[in-house]
Amino acid sequence: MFALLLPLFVQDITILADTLHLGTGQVLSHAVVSLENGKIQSVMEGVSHGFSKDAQQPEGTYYLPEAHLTPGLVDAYSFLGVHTAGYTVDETKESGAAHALSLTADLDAPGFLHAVENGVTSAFLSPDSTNVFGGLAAFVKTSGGNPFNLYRPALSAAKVVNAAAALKISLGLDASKGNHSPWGKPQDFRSRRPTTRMGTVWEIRRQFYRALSYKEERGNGLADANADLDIMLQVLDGRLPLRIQARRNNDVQTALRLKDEFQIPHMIIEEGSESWRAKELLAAAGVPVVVGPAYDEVSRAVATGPTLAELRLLANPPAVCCEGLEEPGHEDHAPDAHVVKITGFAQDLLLATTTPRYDAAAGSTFGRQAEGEKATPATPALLWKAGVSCAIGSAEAHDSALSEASLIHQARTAVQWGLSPEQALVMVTSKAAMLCGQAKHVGQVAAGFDADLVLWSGNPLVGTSRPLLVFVDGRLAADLR
Amino acid sequence: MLLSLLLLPAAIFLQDAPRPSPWLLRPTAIIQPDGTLLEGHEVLIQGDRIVKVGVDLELPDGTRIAELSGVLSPGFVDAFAFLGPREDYRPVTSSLRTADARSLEAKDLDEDRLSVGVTSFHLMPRPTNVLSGWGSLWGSGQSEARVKQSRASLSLLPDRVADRRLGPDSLPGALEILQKELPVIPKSTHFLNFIDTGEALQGWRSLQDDHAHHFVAMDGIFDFGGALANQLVGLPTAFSFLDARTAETWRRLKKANIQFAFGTAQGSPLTLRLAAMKLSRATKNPAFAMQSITTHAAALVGVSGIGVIAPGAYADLVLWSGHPLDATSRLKATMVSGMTVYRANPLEEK
Amino acid sequence: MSAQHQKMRSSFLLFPVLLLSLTGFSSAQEGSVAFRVGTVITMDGSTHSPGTVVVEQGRITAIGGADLEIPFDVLLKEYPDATLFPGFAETHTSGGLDRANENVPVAPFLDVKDSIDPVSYFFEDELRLGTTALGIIPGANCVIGGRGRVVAPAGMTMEAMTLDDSMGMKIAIGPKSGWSRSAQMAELREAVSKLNRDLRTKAQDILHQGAVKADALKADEAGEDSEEDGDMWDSSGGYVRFGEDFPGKDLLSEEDVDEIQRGLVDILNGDERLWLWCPTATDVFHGKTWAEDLGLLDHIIFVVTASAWKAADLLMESGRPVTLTGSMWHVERDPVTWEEVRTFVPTVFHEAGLAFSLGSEKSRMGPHRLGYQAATCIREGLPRAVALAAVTTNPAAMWGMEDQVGALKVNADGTFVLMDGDPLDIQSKVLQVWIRGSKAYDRNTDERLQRLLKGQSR
Repeated sequence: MFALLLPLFVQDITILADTLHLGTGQVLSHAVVSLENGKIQSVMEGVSHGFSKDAQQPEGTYYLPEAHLTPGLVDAYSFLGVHTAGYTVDETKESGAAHALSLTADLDAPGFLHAVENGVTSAFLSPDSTNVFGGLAAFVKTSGGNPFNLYRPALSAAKVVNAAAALKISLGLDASKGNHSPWGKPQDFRSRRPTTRMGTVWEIRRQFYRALSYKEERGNGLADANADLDIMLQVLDGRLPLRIQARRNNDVQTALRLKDEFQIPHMIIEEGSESWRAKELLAAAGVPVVVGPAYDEVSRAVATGPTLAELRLLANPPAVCCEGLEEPGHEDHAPDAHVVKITGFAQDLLLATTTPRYDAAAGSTFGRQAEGEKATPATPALLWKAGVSCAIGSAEAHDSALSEASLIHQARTAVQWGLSPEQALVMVTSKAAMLCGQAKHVGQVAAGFDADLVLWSGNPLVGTSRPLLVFVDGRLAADLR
Repeated sequence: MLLSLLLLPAAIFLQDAPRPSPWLLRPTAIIQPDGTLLEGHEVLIQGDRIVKVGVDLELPDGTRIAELSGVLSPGFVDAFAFLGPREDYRPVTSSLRTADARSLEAKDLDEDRLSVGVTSFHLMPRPTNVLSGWGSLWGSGQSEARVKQSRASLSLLPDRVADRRLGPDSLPGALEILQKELPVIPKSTHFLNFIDTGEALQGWRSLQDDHAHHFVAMDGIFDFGGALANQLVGLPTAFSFLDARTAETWRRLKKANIQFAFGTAQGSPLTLRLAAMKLSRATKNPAFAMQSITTHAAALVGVSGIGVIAPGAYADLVLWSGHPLDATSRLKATMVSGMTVYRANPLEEK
Repeated sequence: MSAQHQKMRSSFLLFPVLLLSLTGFSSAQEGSVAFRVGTVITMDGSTHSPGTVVVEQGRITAIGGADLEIPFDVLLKEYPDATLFPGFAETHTSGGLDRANENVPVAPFLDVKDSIDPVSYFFEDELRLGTTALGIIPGANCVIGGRGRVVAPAGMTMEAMTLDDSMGMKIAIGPKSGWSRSAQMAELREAVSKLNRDLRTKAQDILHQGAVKADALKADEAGEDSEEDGDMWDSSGGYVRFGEDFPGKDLLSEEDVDEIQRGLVDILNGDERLWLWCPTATDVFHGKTWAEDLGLLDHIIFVVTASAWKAADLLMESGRPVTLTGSMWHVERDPVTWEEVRTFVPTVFHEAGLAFSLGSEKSRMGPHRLGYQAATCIREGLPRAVALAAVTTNPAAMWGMEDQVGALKVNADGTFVLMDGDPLDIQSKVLQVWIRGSKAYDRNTDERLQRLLKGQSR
């Protein structure tokens, strides 16, 4: 719960922590961190102090014994404030590269409050995947903005830090949903490509080629300014990173192929449900991955279900001869005359009952159900072991008040499935910041960095720990003691 | 009720042809939008305008005097009422004018408005296009517009402007269209911006457009009201379902120094007075509520001279049996442009 | 043709394999093993570090420290860094069933034994997470749902899995899908009224027929089928023990009651534990009143959701145990400001002095796992003992099986879980699970898990 009397101005703050995680994997003990003007002023180790928990602490000094201090968590892949279609993605055209999410994201969304309470101080808001080109992603702080909402306390909204953090492209099935071929249905702007996965890649290629010829024509003064293509050129020049959402193995490989084809300097794979299957290729290409949240249902990840061959066999079992049956007229017959073929509705029913049923993972993009059969919660561990640069994101986990699948929980799950604890913390702090283009500002406790810090009741990777104090830009954003 | 005083003025109110000679109205009291109650004051009307308001007024020759029992208030102004079904599916239809669309053949033109004290209304095109066209101001019951081109309509309501055949599909699409169109629209154009989310407000601000505009918050004002401090904002009367959250929201809006202007949008004219009554109860401020359906509504429309009882204003007056926002008051007569066009219970004046 | 030949060939191959496996069996006693580990958490008040547990023929025969003597014919396994504890207990779930409920609202004749699917992925997942006992019972979309039973998540047949078949009956106060509460309570009352009418009618029939059973006076010989008519139902009178007397009541036998209604007679007789589904606080009130009216309060276990924190006093008054299913948090939104108010329900229950257990939702891997829920309780300030009890001994007590499961004590089942860390540590892995002295799960041979961990595809 928010303490309503939180300071609205940034004061100089000193935090004393028995254990300090720097965000790089290093851990210091008995550290003193001082904050000034919203930045970290200094970090000192091995300082003994006379403070005890019960002693009166001076204004602006915080000491909680046995607490762990970490950098504020950076959610490298988040849908906070991103409502499906309608408000943030315009589907009139698939290639709205210049649409900036920062203009239409709901920075007042209650999800940001939940994120702060779970220790997440900054988030990379990724446009929805309903368009091939989703537009410009935004990097925000989860607190410190002035809310429009009449009922929200001051400074409790999110604040945009970078309105053009990356260009988002979505591979796979999501973007082509809703489109249809022109035959048979009423004509509207959805009577267009792409309707398939390869159509999506066609749209991407088309735009890139258009951008290349636009570059030439602009140079010759033959073309008018086009905001979308200007963005594409920024990507090709390396001035803007490219975030490409790819779940399936073949989508990841397609992304790598596009990188080669157009020599895209900065590409980051997003979600990467099956990216572990292409880990060698990713490592060789040096392409990092921001991994989406792990599923909640074990069987969904574990059960691989019947193979296609098995399904075919079930649907069309081999001929069973009636040898031995004493019925007239069965002596002479063609070999397949008594095959029991299952067709039509019955076949669908059979297929429906034999494929494993899953609980749906909630999310603003529903393609996750169809495109992640070979996902495993061990993805961060597998990628890291293969030498792929990797961070963890939580997608829409903070939207619900009841969700306990927040970013720190994703890190805990990753440890459970084989990642080392140091790396898990790195993947939600400094590594995440790096993959959001904010490596010098957030994700580490070091002088000069933004004063985004979280004080936990214990080791953050343990299930019995929770955030006690959350600082964003040097201001106490949540006091949960 | 002083029935005796009604004997003489009954004769006057039975006439419905405009008379060139001036009228002096002597009501029991006059109530102004700012809450001032003027007892014993008189109103001098010439033609369709008010000439003077005061006590012991000097009267020109031929002035007829009407002694009225009741409270005289300015007629209510409906800040925005939508006209008809969706006209056109294109996102930009800026040549559309509601002034062209009014039907003059209805027998009891605006009887519903007159019976509840709405003497002027601002007819706006439906906000189903990003730029729908021009609104116009009418006196109730009249066949010619008072102002033919008042405000232009701009809509960032994604659910309404979305169109599957021509686009846009959503808010960013609407913003993109505006980005192209706004620079070529004349600077003198004054918009009424229809929005229902904070994102729309955010998006509008990002365009950094400098046309004059006022916001009309069709929904969800608690979500973004905090960003509209010190502004005049239009609100649909449909929003006035008075639950605890609405009442608290209105109080907070008032505290942020936001002025309300009610419009019936698609609803019945009766809701205009009801909304003001609910606002009065929620904020405990009848004057503030009166302003929301008189002077503030007039300001939203951009027309002075309606919603006030002052020299030079249109003679749009309503006679009530008590304070207009009191639920037990009933409307006795309505005058528009100096002509009495509605009387309640004509047979009672005997 | 070829398919048949193939079938026969494969069965020819299978037989020698089976034979080999049988003869290759060790000479050690079946169901006997001893573990010496780093820590033994008994849930019986003691923790041994290091500790030893001896299991013989499926039952624990000794628990002690490092120097505990082990019988010569029991195989000793040593894991100096591991922790051993009784395993989590899932109090009340409808997982592992073909379908949670039938369409029939009043169905006391249903039993989960007919629906449990031993090869369901659900049981495999439970083993993986260290759950050793589950109370499987019909779901909540019913009025009277049927009988449940306590099973272990290992075994090829339902009988092999069963730990106890007298878990009880499911009764729902919270309405069936699409119904209102008044319709739900009406149906429940109607079922009882109908039963009473039918019993009286049947008793009248018996009296009119003049068929006085010769062994009517032998009603105290419970379960005996005195007429040997070949079925399993008792035909001696005195079956109906509840309610007012009516002519011929003592002549009614189990056989006389329609099999669709027998379960209801058992309920009203007070022979069944009753799991009362009360999803809202108001349902707790109605459920408690209903049970009190029928004199069945002592058999009730309240199955509630987070919203029941508002009825904590009422639950305390009833003196009955409570099992919390679903989320442990209750979230309400202020109607004016829309500010969220969250209440952590286990804290409310603990402060009210209630004996409660936790239940996980269908999703297994996330924060709804029993171990993680217990850790969350500690995070929110509950004592460790209370949190652990809520997922081990309290469920066992609710099932009436305190001496058999939930805690490691002498003569309890030799059922336990071996983990590489504390059970409540999210990073601890389940290494092995032993059910009644036989190994039911080993992480090293968990093919599906290994596939996920190593990233192999089929």
